[in-house]
Amino acid sequence: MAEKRDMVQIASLEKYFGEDKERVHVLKGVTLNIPEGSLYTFLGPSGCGKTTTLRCVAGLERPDGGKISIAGQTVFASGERVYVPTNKRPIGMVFQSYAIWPHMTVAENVAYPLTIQRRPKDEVKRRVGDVLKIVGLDGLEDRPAPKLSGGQQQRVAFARARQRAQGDVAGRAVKQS
Amino acid sequence: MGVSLIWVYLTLPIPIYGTIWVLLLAYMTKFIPYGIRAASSSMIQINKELEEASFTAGGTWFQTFRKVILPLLMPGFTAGWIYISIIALRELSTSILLYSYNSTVLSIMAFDLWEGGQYTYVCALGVLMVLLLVAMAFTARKLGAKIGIAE
Repeated sequence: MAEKRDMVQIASLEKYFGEDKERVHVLKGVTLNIPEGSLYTFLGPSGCGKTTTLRCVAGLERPDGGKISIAGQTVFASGERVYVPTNKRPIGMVFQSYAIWPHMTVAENVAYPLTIQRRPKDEVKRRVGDVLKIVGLDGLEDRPAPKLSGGQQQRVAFARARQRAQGDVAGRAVKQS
Repeated sequence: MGVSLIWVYLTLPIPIYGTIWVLLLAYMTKFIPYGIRAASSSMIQINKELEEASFTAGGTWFQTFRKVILPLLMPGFTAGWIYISIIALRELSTSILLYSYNSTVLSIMAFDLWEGGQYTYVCALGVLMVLLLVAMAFTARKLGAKIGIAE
């Protein structure tokens, strides 16, 4: 491959929060291209819009203008009225609070992106085992998810995000103290 | 409350007055606010990111509701249901205006026995009701405590 294609393309992204007088202009024409296979980091002070940008890419926030494409597919374009819902975008996300489902075990959490696609049981089991080995949580499959340390929960969240994002975008809003 | 229900179901051409169904309807009308309180307080407890995590994992709205939201709500809902059945069981003011001979509820029975001067029976019934209510209250407490630790 001579040139790597862009995985994520964001063009002049606009986002406002609030109504009327309290309206805040958060994203002012954010434009960036992220090539395939690269690691990209947003760095900035609190409230500058790092998470908002990421949430717009994930489709959890609806931007007020601009264009976003993921892996060549346009997922949002204000002019053409394109808006692909979050669950149809090829993404994986680790939340700031990790958002581990407390009613499931570690394995159930990580298997969720696969089980809702009704993948065969042996494939689910194999892939969950593989990814838990990568994050170093093998042996903890049947532990209830809330009974993990903070760091372990973070790794579960990462493993879960990776399941669906095989080769796609793994957006990550991680707050490190 | 009881009077208004009598008035409504005597005038409406639905033949439920004097049956057990009018009591069911009355209880539902009376206790809906309690139910909503219990339901909304357990909904507030669910972090929004737990839902969003399901969407980013590719779950549809329905899958998210069934696999993530509903299981997290269930303990709170059950506690609410038990709580309502506890207060409904000892409800007298509405029942006494709406009951008939084939739909006598426990609270009416106790009231009747007391009026008839059969105090020993009232005591026995009272003890049984208290035992039942204590058991229910205990279950509700346990379920309520369970959602407390779920983040």
